[in-house]
Amino acid sequence: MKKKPVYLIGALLLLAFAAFSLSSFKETLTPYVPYATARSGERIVQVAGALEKGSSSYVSAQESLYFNLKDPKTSETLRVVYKGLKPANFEDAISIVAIGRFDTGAKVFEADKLLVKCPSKYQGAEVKTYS
Amino acid sequence: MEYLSHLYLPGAMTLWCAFIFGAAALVGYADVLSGNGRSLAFARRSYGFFAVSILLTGALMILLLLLRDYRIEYVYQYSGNDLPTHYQFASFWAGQKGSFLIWLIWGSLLGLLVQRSAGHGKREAGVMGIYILTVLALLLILIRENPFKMLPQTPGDGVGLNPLLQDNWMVIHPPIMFIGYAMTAIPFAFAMASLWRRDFDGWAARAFPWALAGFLILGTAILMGGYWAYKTLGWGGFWGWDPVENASFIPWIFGTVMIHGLHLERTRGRYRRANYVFATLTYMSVLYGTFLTRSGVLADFSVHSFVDLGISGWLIALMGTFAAISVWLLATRLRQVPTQPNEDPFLSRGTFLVLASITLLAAALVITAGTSAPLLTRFMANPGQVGPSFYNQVNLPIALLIAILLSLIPYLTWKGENDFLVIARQLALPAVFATAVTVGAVIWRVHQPFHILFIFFSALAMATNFHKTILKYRSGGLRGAGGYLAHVGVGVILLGIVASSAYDKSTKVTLEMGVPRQVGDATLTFVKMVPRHDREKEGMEIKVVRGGKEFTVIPRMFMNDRTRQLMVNPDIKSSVLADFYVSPIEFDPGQSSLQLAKGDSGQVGNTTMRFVAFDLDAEGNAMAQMAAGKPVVIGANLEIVQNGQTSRIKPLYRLNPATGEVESIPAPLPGGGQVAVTGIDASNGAVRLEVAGINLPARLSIDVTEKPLIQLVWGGLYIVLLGGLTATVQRLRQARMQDRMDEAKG
Repeated sequence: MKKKPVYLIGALLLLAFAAFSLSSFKETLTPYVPYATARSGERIVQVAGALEKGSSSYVSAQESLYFNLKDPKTSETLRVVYKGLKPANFEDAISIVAIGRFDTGAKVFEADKLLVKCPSKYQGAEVKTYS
Repeated sequence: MEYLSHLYLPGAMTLWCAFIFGAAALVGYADVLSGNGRSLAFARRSYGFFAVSILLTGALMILLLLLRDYRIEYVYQYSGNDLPTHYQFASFWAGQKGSFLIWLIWGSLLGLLVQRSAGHGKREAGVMGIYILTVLALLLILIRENPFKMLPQTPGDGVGLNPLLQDNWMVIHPPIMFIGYAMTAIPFAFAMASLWRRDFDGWAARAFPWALAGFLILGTAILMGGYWAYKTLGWGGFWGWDPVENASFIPWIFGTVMIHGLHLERTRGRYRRANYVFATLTYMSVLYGTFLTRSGVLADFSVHSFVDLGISGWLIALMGTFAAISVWLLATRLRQVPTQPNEDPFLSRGTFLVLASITLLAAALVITAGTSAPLLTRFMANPGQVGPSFYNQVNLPIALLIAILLSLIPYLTWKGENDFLVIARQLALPAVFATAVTVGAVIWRVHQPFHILFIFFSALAMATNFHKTILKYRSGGLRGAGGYLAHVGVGVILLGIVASSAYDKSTKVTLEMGVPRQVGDATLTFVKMVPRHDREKEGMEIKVVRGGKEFTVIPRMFMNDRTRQLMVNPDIKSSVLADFYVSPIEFDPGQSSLQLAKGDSGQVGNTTMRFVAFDLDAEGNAMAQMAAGKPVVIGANLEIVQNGQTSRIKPLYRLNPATGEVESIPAPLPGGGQVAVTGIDASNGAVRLEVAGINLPARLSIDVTEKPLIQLVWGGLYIVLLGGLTATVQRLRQARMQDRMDEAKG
């Protein structure tokens, strides 16, 4: 009978851990959203699309890359800024996933991370991550 | 027979032969189980033929690759004329079909050993029956997705091997991983056969060395994969919580729980029911990981590049079948397994082992949940995924708990007769060591309380287990010291992970050739380009002066000849205390001429220029001039972006068709300098431009990272594996003993 409290503490710890993991799961889950949803700037999300031709420019002074993502289905576009060096082969990207949050003040999606998919002859395309 | 005409017949034949022999072995073993002991020889011989057929299939595939027989689709897809011989082996397992084939080859070969270690008569028949089912499942996938499919025409050259895989580690890493995968099926087969035949004793002793060997080999493969990622991929880390990595890590954790469970069953007769579940979880997690990474379910997420080969349905059926078999057996037989009531006091080794197992199970479950996030959120409005931050957040408390438990376990006894004072007295010396390490860390740069705690317990775990390893070694040699030694390694790894990933210093800089630049406490100078030499690709030589010492690093960045993919190879200067990691990000050769097609843009220095269109009316209509045989003038409309300012310029190109004389009339750039058209490619609508007046030295952007104590990660893993090896050897002896005992019993 002496053991009951031990089990109870164990169960409580497990429960606490389950709650903790669930909350960090929810917190770190970055959902794929349409551009309209991303514009609310409520949380970190991922947006995917193609690079709009001729829309990218690199501002060396800010070390920032500006470009427009274009939704292939709706042709909607989203202005994205990525602070960092320009990914190699960026202009050739067939699709780009940007993970970050929309800055409602500056009206631009601030990407913390870019996943650039370049065309490849191999099974599946080559994906590179930049953060 | 249309089906067969698309297949390379010898390959298809060996696969079908294997299937027939495999099925025959299954029938033979079934007959043994139903009481006809004389079928044993038939079953064994059939299995032998099965293994030979599979081996022949593999040999055939290697031969086709070495001969570069591009009639075969798989050879065409993964090999090429210029691929060196040793990479032909990497081609073998570069694609999905080849990966399943190598998995099957190991599976069938291991079966020959399982046959010998499974006991005799009905015991062998039960284990082999289940085991053959697991290998036949792989064979079915291969028959469905035949690697010997032929192309309608024979190409002259193959596509070539993905340049990322052209690395010596990639020649050995995947096959070792697949031995590990194949091995998880063995304890599973032992467990299921034991439940099925209600033969609850002895399986643990026989399965134990297999479980340990699987743990060892999977661990070795994970180590190699991490090392490869660190050394060649250039993103600076060794573990990215990528689904492919997780697919190998989750079975490894379950496998770790299983070896501890089996240890407890062997020494204390505990965990007798739980071990069946652990063996099932280990094997099922391999199947589930394979399903996640090879079925294309994650491909919708466009983040990972897994392609659906059309085997998702098969993989689901496979998982479903084995899940159904194991759940049914567990549900109906588990209660019949005799157990002892748990009477361990709290401060005993048994209780702590239970706690550690639960902690590890929790880790495996959250990693599984994280990896499955796209599946779990599939039916929500916006399905998503979790990034490395999730895994790091959740696993940090788990790792801390593991470190705490590991610190105490060496001084706990099974009966728990030691009270806390006795344990505390033993802990004193290791605690002094751990405190010294922690104080050192705080003085160095660690100030986050959680990390301080983490470092203290990691060091403590290292010290207590090291103490116990020495005691064991003195009393009985390496025998019995394996477990403690492995735990020393865990402490070392945890220290290494926290130091190298939470306290690394990374800077991104752009170096101009010849101009020294200060980065932290080092001075970096981009000295020169190192030209290509044999198979060594071009690199950039960087001189580093740091703390009075001078060394050179040569990271490489080159265009792959076949795929025009940009490849990046970091260079690492390793020392005991830290790695100096230099990874190239971008290289600008300072080139001042560029060729642009209509609509394309190019960069020269700080200037981006886009070729909008030709202007055929620059000085009168060019077509009319051409028709009249007069000098033709063509303009190139360029859009210039400089410092965020956009402007348009139009350099001209004058050509006299009569004399062939060419004249180029440059246009000034708004920020100084000028652009001239030096050539026109009319058929492709492209223009060649020469930029002058902009100072253009070669520039190299790099990521410089100091990774403190990363050697501890590799070193610690080696210690874990060494400990595992020691334990495996010992348990192998015990399993042989079990055999002799059984024989003596008759």
